[in-house]
Amino acid sequence: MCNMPHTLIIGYGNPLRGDDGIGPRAAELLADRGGATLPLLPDGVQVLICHQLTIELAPQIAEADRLILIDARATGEPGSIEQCILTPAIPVSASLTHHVDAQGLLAAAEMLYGHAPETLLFTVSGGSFDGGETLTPAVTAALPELLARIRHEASIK
Amino acid sequence: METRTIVINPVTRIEGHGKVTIFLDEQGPVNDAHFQVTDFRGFEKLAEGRPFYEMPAITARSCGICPVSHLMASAKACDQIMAVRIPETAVKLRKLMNLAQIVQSHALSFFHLSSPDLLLGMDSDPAQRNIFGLMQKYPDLAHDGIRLRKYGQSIIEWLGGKRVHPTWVVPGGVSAPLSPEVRGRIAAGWPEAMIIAQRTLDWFKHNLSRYSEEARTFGNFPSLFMGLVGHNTGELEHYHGRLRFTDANGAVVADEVDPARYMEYIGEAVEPFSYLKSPYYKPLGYPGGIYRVGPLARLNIIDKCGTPKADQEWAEFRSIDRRAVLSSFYYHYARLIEIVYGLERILELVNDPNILDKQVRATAGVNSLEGIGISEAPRGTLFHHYKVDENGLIRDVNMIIATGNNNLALNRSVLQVAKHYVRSDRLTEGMLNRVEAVVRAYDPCLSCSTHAFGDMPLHLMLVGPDGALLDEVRRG
Repeated sequence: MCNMPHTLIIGYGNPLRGDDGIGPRAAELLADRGGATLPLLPDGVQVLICHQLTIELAPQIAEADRLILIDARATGEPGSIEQCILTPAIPVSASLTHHVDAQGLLAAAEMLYGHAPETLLFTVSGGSFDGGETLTPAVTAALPELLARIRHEASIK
Repeated sequence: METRTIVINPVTRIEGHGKVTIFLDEQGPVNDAHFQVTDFRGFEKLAEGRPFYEMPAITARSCGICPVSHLMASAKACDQIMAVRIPETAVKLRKLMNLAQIVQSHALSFFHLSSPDLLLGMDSDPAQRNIFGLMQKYPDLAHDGIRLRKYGQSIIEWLGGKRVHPTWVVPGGVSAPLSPEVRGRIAAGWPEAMIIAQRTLDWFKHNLSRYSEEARTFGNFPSLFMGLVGHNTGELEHYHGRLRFTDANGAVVADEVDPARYMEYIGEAVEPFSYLKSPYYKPLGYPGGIYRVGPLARLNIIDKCGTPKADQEWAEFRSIDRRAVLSSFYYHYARLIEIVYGLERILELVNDPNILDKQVRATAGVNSLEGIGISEAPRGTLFHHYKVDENGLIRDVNMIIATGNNNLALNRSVLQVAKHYVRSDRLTEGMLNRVEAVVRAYDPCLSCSTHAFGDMPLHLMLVGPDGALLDEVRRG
């Protein structure tokens, strides 16, 4: 059986919708999948990239001690970074289909697997969500600070 | 009598967005109902001018729910443009991914979308009648759904590199052979997946009598059924084969139809109230040529499944009616049988002596100016038809999407449920949920059936005899 991570980082979003790809892009760089020469993350940190959060992530999340989520935000000054602590909460909307919000996912992990990790959500305000694979300049410029803050959090045991 | 409009907005727990409008007559009872899909995307147009070999990647992005299905049909159309016979191992590997898609998609439909109605009750509090309510009251079932879906998704990811929009299925075959490591992972996860599938099917059969009213009223009407069957075998088939149409008495009305001749049998009508086209069986005209596709249709048209457990279950399923099983409520039952079938075939494939062969891709240029690829998606038969110029650039695309085939049936089903359950002098959550639930039985993917995406919800409107919109219910 493999060792589960101390910290799980999930970058999610649609890389074909402009700045919605900030989550996957940041996660790629953290995992060094973009060919960048960033320092390696500490042991016990796992990075996942996905289009959206789904309920099937619940078992993996439940086994992490800490969870860091990276996503785009549709409001705010493009490129601005927000960080907040998330707690489990069952969604009010019944329209859940193939994806779930972050707090709902934590609630699922807690209900079904008995544990929801301490969770930080980093969001970056997007400038454009039009079709395309390129981040806007403002969001691109936010990447170094975003990565630095995430790496700091991931290093805290 | 005062009339009202009921709008359910959105119709919950389906993929994509649509609208249901119910029309009352002057005395109040339901007169008509329309299922309307209100998003438009237009992949058929935006693909024009693109190189044909990009089509699998382009069309896979018409939907994030069933991209694998589009990869299959599109790659097969491209194979025809190249005029290649792809390596046999490549056929088996494509089937492996396709079956994993069937398993995970059907698991999503049953466990996440429909089981809240079935277990918590159609009249239960909507705030609880969802997957979270299921987790609280039936955690074991929720566990099973997550595990089963994860198994199917993992196979797709192991083969294709990612769960959504995997890039491994390409014109000419697949881009890489199967590794022994991945084969081992698939085999290791199989026993648990099959236990879950059988347990769930056994539960459903045991509780079927609880849903007798739904079985009687949810899209229970005569229609044709269409799908692919194995060439000269009549077996259940999801990747290749010939088209077969059967009628409500179980009689075959068209058989061994080469998919290249689909346009001789299927016409498409357009209604002003929806972006979803209405395919119909041409010999019977529109709308008389209504037909259904998907799990219920597939189990009606076949001579056998071809795997032992599934055949046993299929025989029991067909005992509901030896002619044809007509009620759309039984889509749920058929889906569970197809999960068992898919798992049996997956095990056969990973144990195939040639499954690790390295020859998995044929290469060629443009050798035909037309290609037609047809496969069975989780929701039904999917058609991709491309015409190219001599340089292989797309000139014309026609796609008939699985869910689109069911448009006429969806409309009729909504009308039937509305007539049975909706009363203009009182509105209950249960009435409205049953209108939604019949749509869910079809497991429609509206995102790709209009080749559409968007954020518009499904809503249900009740319209008075003078055409005035009287009321609407919005959710979410």
